Amino acid sequence: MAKPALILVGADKGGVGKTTVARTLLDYFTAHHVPTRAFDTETPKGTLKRFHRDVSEVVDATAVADQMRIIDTLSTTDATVTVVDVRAGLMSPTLHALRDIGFLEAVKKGQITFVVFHILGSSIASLNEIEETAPFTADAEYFLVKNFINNTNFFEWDQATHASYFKKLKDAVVIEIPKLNEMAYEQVELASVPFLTFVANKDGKNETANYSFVLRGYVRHWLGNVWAEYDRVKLLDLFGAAAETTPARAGRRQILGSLATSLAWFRVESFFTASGESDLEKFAISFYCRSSRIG
Amino acid sequence: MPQQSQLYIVASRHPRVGKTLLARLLIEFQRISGRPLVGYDLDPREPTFAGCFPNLVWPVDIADTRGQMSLFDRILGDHWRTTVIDLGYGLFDQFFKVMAEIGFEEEARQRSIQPTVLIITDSAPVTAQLTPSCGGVCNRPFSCPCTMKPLRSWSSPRTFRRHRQNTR
Repeated sequence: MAKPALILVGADKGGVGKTTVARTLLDYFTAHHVPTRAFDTETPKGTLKRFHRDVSEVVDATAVADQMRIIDTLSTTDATVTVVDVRAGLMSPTLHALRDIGFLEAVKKGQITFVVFHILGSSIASLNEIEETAPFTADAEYFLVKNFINNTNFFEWDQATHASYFKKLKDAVVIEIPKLNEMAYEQVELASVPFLTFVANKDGKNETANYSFVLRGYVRHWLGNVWAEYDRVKLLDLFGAAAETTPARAGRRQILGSLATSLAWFRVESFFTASGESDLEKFAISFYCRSSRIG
Repeated sequence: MPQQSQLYIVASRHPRVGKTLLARLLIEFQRISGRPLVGYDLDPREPTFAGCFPNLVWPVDIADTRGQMSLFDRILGDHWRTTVIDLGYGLFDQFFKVMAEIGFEEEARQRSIQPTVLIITDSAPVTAQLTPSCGGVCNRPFSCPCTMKPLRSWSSPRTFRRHRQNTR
């Protein structure tokens, strides 16, 4: 049985894209068939819940009763992964609370998988949070998330400043969230559905919607890039569920890969028996396109 | 099986190579066949194509998302019509980038739209290296290089008439 896993998505600074990242995570786990539940700490209304009604519930992270609802149920829930979208200003208090209740100790003993997605803004105040958060994340999988959704550049133009923040923590892994087209982002906001549902042109009731194909295309492309980042850091491997899904996927890919190669070579042979050398160039182009699509 | 509709994209990286002329010829040719037809002029600076067919060709600026929506969403929505696009040289890269990014080719195929990119060839070396700049779209089997042969320049109406008589 897989270890219970808790993913904390947060930052003390507001407006840096915490809920957006939490939404991409929920979509990622849905697509990979990882049972997931989520807690939205934006009490009382909730933000994450507006998009992921089925799997998320609104909690008050400062109330002990709600802390119990999250932590005490980690090992009994059917969900392999629990995602907590921590609202602005509550990141440090939440980490303190987790330390005080002995949660971090359990993480250290390897009883729980603890993952922190620290969403960064472009301000010095936001970058200073890295140092404050570091003492609590020694045994966690700590991801620094540079969210480029609002075209920020994280002081990359000033290498000294950039290095002073990002090179300090050796174990921290940086994830980059690319920018999403503004209109596409706003359209998903209006639709109030998960990104995946929007791409599939469905509304909240799972009925066919009438979203712009262009905007859906932008969201699909962007989501693909975000997921590529999660794949790069081997996010699924952190959870027991990944042990079942990833090799199975790898096996399937291998079979598909060899099948594709066989098909491609069959086409080569058929071509040379059917046509003359003068068409070689034309064929080379179409073969290249087809094989790259298969790959 | 639904009937395929055609999408012609007339493109070049250079101005004054005959894009609009070819687009006009396509429109005229398609009109004769009586098929439902629509055209888009993607040259915001000089919408000559739209000027030639005011009720048939619409000027669209794809520099922003709203313009991209009004082009690509309308093409997919009007998938029963033959579409002719006159792609202004300044938007060549952006058009193919957006097309690749939103997965237009795949969606068009699902809606039985057959895209054909008519690339006007010229002697510039960059024309031969179009592939990386248009996301590989230009090298797909549906792209077709076109060579525009220069029209003979007539010195006077009399020589023109003589030539017409000879060629009849």
